[in-house]
Amino acid sequence: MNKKKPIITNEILNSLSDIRRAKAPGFFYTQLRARMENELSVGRQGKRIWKPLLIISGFVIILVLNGWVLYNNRGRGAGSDVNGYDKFQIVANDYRINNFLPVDLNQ
Amino acid sequence: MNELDLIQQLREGDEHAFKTLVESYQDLVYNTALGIVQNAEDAEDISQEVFIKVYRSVHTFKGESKISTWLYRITVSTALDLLRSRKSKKRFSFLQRLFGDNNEPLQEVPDFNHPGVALDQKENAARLFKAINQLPENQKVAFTLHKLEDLSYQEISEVMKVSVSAVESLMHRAKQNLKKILEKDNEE
Repeated sequence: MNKKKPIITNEILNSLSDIRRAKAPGFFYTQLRARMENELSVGRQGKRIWKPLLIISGFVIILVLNGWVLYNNRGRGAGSDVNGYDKFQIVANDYRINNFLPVDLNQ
Repeated sequence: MNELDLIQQLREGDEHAFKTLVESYQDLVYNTALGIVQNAEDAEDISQEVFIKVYRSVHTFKGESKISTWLYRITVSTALDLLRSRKSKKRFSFLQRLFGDNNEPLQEVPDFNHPGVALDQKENAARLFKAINQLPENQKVAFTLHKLEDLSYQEISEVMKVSVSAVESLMHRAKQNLKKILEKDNEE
């Protein structure tokens, strides 16, 4: 049994010693040309179709984003709160940075 | 027509030269691809892809190596790319099955029968091809080129861009690994 194992293994290993080269399928060149022409025409068509599509979809995305931003900011006003205070003014008041002059100019 | 003339005409976009190239080398490309992917349909697809790559990149071919060497290189890399993408898909579907997304069973790969094998060697060759499939990529390539395309170690070293001694080492390890795999198979 032990002697048989290497013999079988060697037989299997040598099974490709007389192998012949496999031939490419018939009409290989014709099929290749057909595929090349198909790929080239699809590529050309693709470019023709995709370029304007990309530009249009880019514009649509920008418009949608703009719309979304406007929708989210509706009623907030341009930087003012409901009482008409400017956001910067509120922050400045909170941190008392609008009274930074050492001398009161009204005096 | 010598190789340099053929390349020159290919660069000029000569249709006839391209046909000559395909008809001269289609069996070389197909047989190499078939040995690596072990599937006739995939091998045909790869062969077509190889010639399309050649058509598109002939201007980059410097002519420092033989056309056949260049073709072997493109064929091997295209075939290995296909195997790698198959492997990652297999891994992904395995994960899907693991997490219950896909309940389809994994397909068993059928035994490969190379059309050039003699009838009395079919069974042994099928077992050998199955074992070859389990080798690491570079050992598989070296072994396939040597056994199926009858390339010398020198030629394999040119295709794989490694030294001859590296090819010798690859072949030695390939044979050792194949022996181990086959012996394990025999025990089962």
